[in-house]
Amino acid sequence: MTVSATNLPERAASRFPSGGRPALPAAFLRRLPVFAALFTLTAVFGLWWIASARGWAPPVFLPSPDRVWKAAQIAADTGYASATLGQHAAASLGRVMAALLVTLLIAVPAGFVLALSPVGRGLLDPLIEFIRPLPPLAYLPLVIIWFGIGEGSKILVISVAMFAPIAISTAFGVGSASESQVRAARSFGASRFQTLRHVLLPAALPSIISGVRIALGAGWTTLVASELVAASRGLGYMIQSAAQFLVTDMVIVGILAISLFAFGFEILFRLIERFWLPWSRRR
Amino acid sequence: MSLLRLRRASLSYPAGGGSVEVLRDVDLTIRRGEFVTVLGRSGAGKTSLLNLAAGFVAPSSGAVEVDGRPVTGPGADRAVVFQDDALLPWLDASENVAFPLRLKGAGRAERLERAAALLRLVGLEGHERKNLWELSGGQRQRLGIARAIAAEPEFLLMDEPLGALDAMTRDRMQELLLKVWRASGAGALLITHSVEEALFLGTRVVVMEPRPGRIGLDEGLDFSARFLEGVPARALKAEPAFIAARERLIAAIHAEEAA
Ligand SMILES: Nc1ncnc2c1ncn2[C@@H]1O[C@H](COP(=O)(O)OP(=O)(O)OP(=O)(O)O)[C@@H](O)[C@H]1O
Ligand SMILES: [Mg+2]
Repeated sequence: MTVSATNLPERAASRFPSGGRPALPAAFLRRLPVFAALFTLTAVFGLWWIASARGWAPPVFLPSPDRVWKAAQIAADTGYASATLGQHAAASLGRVMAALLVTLLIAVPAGFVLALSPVGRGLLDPLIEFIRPLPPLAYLPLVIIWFGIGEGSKILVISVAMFAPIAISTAFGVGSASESQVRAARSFGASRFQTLRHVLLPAALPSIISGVRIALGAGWTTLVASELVAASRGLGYMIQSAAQFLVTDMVIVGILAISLFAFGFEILFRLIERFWLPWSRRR
Repeated sequence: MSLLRLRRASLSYPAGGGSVEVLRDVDLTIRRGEFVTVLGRSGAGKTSLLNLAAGFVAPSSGAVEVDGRPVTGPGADRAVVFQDDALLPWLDASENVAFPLRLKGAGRAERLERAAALLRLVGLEGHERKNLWELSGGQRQRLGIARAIAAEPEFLLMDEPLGALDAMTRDRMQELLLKVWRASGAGALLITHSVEEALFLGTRVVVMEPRPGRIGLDEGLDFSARFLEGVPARALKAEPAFIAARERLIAAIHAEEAA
């Protein structure tokens, strides 16, 4: 992606006959946002590196990238807080995935009910509007009183946080099928179930996917809260344990692991949208 | 011989506490092999009439029947084509056309084979794997028509199917529509705002009068039959008989305004 000195004057002359800025190659312009993102990442990392190398902050507040990397290796190989990084990550990922699965099974049908049945909407709306604004830390103690401190409680707390975004996006997506699409299908002999399966569900998919994206964001947030309580594994638990002893490098390892997962999912969903739902951006 | 029949059908919608009567005592019969075109001012109740015939809404009094049996809802014997093509963008051209077959449980091989034949019928061979956003408005409307034919309906109900097309494309689509209709053997009901279109396509034309919607004029036509016998469309539309009929219908549509 180089703007070579030799072709610059020629381009400038052809595109801007009377002076003006020289034109940059289109391929470069198209990737400009990517470069900007890389710039931000490099800048943050560079600042971190310089700040710790120059001793602007004591290592206990800001360990160097180098120390964090070593901590990550220790966590991965010998483990920290009674499990390896891999085991902590697997425990957290398992909880988030289990919660996502449970939530999808309940929230997607709930979204259909919201969209299709006025009575159902009346029944569900107050519940959703009640749950939606609650911070997970507020209802976590109640869930523990009711259901104990087992795995189920943790998954439940994450699911509660995921429910509203998925239900609401599903309802919105179902509504995006046009009346004529539904009526046309009915006139070709589609049963109510077939209309649901072949028109409403596909029409809702892009919206369901964005709901899942939002829900996963809420899920990771809630995960750490749920792992603060009587967990013996998980990235949230690891961060919490390290924080109690001011092992800042390990805290940062945990944070980076979570952000890596979140980033991985974001990439995954973009790929899904690109290859599985290409029509959703082309209307 | 199949019959789609509205018998003294009335339709009211609830409106602000009371109700507003949109159709009153509409009598209309469509036979298989017949092509009924419907004209009328905006708001006259043309779409409401089609909604009744399709079974999307039930008459508030009177009856809608196919071969004497009451219509209780939409069904594959009455396929509908809308002005917005109502296609499904997550399916390619072939699968859109074959959608009615999918509903009947046809396998992929059968669907693709039928779709290929239907795409040929509407002049879209070679576009089988295309996505909808790669097709023009006219091509998409042809897909919508081919899809309705794929349902093998007894009756084809069309609400301004060519309304969004430019004049040139529209003329070609009218001719295509006649050929497709003839090949299918179905009865057709077509709503249009174009008097020329109604005259050219219909074996019968009806004019709806508004508030409440009723059938005013109802007369037989032979232009489409003569077109299918080989008389060029341009020549037909220039005939004195065609022009006289056009003026008569325009007068009928605006009769109430003049009175
Ligand atoms: N769902 C509805 N609820 C209440 N009133 C309706 C409804 N649908 C149609 N109407 C009314 O019924 C009348 C007839 O409407 P309709 O859509 O059948 O007219 P149309 O002849 O198809 O008009 P256009 O040529 O503009 O499409 C209009 O006055 C309209 O306001
Ligand atoms: Mg209408």
